[in-house]
Amino acid sequence: MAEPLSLVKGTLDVLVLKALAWAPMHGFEITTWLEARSGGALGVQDSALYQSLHRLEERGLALAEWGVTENNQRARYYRLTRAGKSHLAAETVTWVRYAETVTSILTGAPDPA
Amino acid sequence: MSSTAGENIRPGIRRLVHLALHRGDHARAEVDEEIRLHLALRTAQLTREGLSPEAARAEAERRFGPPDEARGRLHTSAERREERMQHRELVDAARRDLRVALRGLRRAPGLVVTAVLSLALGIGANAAIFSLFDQLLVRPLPVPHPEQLVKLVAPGPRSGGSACGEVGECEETFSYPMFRDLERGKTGLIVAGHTLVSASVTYGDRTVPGRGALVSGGYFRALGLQPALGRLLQPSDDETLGGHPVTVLDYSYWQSQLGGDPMVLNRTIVVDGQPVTVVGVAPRGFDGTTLGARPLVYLPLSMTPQIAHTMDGMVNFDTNRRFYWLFAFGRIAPGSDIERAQTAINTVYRPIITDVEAPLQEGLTDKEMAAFREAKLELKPAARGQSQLEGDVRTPLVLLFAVAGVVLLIACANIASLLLVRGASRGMEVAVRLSLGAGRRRVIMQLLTEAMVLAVVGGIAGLLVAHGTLKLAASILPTSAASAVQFGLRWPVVLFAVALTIVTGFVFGLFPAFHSTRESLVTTIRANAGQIAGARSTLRSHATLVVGQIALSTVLLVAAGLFLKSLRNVAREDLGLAVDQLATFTVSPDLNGYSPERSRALFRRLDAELAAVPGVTSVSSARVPLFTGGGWSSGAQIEGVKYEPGMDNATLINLIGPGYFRTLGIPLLSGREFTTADRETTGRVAIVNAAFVKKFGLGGEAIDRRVAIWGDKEPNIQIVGVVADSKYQAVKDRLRPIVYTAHLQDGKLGRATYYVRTSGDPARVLRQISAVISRVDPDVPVQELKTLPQQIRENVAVDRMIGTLSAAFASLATLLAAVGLYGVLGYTVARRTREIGVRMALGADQWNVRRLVLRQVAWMTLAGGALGILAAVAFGRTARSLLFGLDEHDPATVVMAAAVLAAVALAAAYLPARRASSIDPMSALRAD
Repeated sequence: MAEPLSLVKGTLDVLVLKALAWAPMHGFEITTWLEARSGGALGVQDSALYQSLHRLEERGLALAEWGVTENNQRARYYRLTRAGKSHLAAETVTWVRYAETVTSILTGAPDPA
Repeated sequence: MSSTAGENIRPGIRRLVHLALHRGDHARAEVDEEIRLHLALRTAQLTREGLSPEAARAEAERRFGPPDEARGRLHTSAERREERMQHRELVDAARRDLRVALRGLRRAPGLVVTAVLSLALGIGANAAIFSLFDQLLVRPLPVPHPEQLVKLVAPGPRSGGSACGEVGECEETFSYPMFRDLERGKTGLIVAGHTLVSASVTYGDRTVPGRGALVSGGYFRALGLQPALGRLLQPSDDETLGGHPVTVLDYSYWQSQLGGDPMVLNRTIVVDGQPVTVVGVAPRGFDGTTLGARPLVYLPLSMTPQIAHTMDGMVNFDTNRRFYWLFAFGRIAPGSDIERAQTAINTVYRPIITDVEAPLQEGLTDKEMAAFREAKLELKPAARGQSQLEGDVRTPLVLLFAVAGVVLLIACANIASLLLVRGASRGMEVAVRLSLGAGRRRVIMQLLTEAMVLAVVGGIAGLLVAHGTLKLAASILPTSAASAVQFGLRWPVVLFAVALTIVTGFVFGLFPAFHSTRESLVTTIRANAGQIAGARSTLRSHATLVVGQIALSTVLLVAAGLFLKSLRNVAREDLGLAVDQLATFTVSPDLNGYSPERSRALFRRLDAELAAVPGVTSVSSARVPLFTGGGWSSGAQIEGVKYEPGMDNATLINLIGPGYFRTLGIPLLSGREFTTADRETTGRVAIVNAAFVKKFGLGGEAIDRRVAIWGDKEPNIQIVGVVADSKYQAVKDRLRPIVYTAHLQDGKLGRATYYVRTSGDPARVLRQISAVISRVDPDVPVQELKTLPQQIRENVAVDRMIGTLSAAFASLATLLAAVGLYGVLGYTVARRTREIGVRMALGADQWNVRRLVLRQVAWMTLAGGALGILAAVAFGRTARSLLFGLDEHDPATVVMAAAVLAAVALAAAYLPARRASSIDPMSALRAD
């Protein structure tokens, strides 16, 4: 496996929002979702994830509530707010455009001589 | 409820449930639990993938991050999150409250206008008085550690003469030799001496009349000041009498008259005809140490022989231990305190008193002699310098402050009532909100926001009112007092207004907010279905507030009545002379260095030229001006009257010109006036007044008797006339014995205050008088040119100010109370509409209904009035010193105040009573 990519600052928050867009999850669920989706390519310390969640809560993009897992364990579930949903949409557009622009420059054929 | 509303309400309620104190702990505990679960799940996952439990656990922790560090970081970020979210909620809540408050207030313009006006007046008045209070009574001198400054006070009987006033009372004066002893002694204090003298300062061709300060070498050192230019006076400038012609300029004088020119150093200026060299400028912001008198120049005490030569009793001042004229203050060493310093200085003072000064005393009774030997020096705090003005203005200002405070309280009560009524009418809305789960605290916050918005707007308007009030006060006070104070808005006043606004907002907002959200509200609504919610207890609170307002206004009405009556007594006081049609001015040629002969010649010319002005019927002069608070006094010995030591033989003295009594309109009872024939070469003559004759029991045989004054041993002045009594120093003085001697016979003739009687309005002659003087001698400046009625008005300026302001405040307060009364009566009528309808349907006539209203007016007015009168009587004693010609229990004033109150109450009741009696029973019964 290649070296895990370290995340560009700020992207973890957006990724977490995306995870939550699927369904309310608790911390570990989000971690496993990210690992599954990225195939392990992203190297993120688990504690960093929780810091990201705190930031999202602070900014009102996510809400936390204590609930119960399938195994009857108490877990803190995170949910997307309306503000979070629109923030996710906006950031996605920006990110995609950014990535496309950079990718096209880096992989583009040289100008015809 | 929609999910969006749920998003907004639920977290808020959840967070309200958490106690604020445990927020941090709670957040950390939650983090710990999350971490526990995460590690457990990760360990389980890894175990499923094949690792041993221990290896799985280790790997889980590795992936999580270094355990303690990670935990710590998450704790911190969770706590920060809580803090930030709490903060955001508060901000959001505040913004929401503000929006709701503004919306609500916009729908009640009457409330807003009334509230803002009342607050503006209340806060404005307090801010204005505070400004005066702060500058005159609170703000210390601009020196380092002003709390270390003390003034020296020597109470107790002593013989000899003194020159006191302006800088301090007579017991604060010292003789020159005594001062030097104290200055030199090992007392641990830096002792400084000072006094004020009149000074004409000439620089180049410009002469400015004003004051000068004679200060000892340690003065600036005791104050701890740094010069703005050059240097300040030092002990080396105070060594040889007459040998140090140097001066330090006042900063403002340097800026305004000399243009702030730094080249002024080492130049010569002329003070009272005496050339002195400028060695420095005092620092900016330093006005001297005497409130109300700002010196133009500071001169060393060693210059006394040249500068203060016109003061009687100053002959041999450097050795005379029984002429007291110098004031003294000192700085306590850091680390010491007043008691220790006082003990230390008395170790120097007491031996001098018993060994040196006691043998020198003359004319004291045995009892007084014993008291003299026991005399001790006292040290009193002098952080604000040393001045008589401070003692004079203390009581009036404290009183005015109290009055302004009362007005503000009344305004608060008014607004609180208005808010109570408003709260009552919104009772349903509030009840619904409370039952839907809005915390009581939240609703109170929202109501309080409304109150604070009113307070802030009122406060801003109040600053405008304060500005106007200060300008008004400045116009009433005489220029000497007005110059001591800045009548603009400065930072301390603005800050005070802001603080007062916030406190006021809480005061009038808190009670209605609590009352409107009380627990019993919901049950009360149910019980009183169909009526204004919670009416009965609201009415009780409301009525109590109004009774309080009435009581407070009554106090102010009584106070205003007392002060106005006092002012009327002052205005009606018989002064003993014909005041109208007199103009006055002062010339001091001695300050220009004129010799007595030259001054005499000047006065003779002035007498002639002024008498020739059309409209002038009579001209005369006096050495001491009338109605300025100043006067000369001395003991008198009359031939044929036995003098016992300890006998009170004090009399006032003035030196007057020929025709004085005719000019002033004081009747001559027997004998004659002075004439130009009474000269330096002829026998010394005197005229006495009736009080003098009475005091010394001269009967009908005053004429031709001889008197001695100024400590002369042999009576050598012959009485040639007796005049009626008249006032001398102040309007409020009692009539005291006066001896008049001839000014022209005074060897030290140097200045005079002229009195010019005119046939018409004296104000019109003022300009001509000015022209005459500049024609006779343009170098001599004219001071205090005004009409005598104007001088008298200045003499009673403080009384006028108190009378005017207290009357204004009392009217204001009564108006506010009337508005409050009107409000509660209207509310009662509205609330009892149905009941009134029933009564009328059952046969009650209009008069019966009106009586319902009047009964309520009666009990509130009686209760409030009685409370107010009791309070006024109880606190009246504090104002006694300000009253003239009546005491604080004056029944006529109390009766009048009660009458005004009754009239106002009836006026306030008129409309509600009429409205009540015009209720249509049918519609009242049908309405809800």
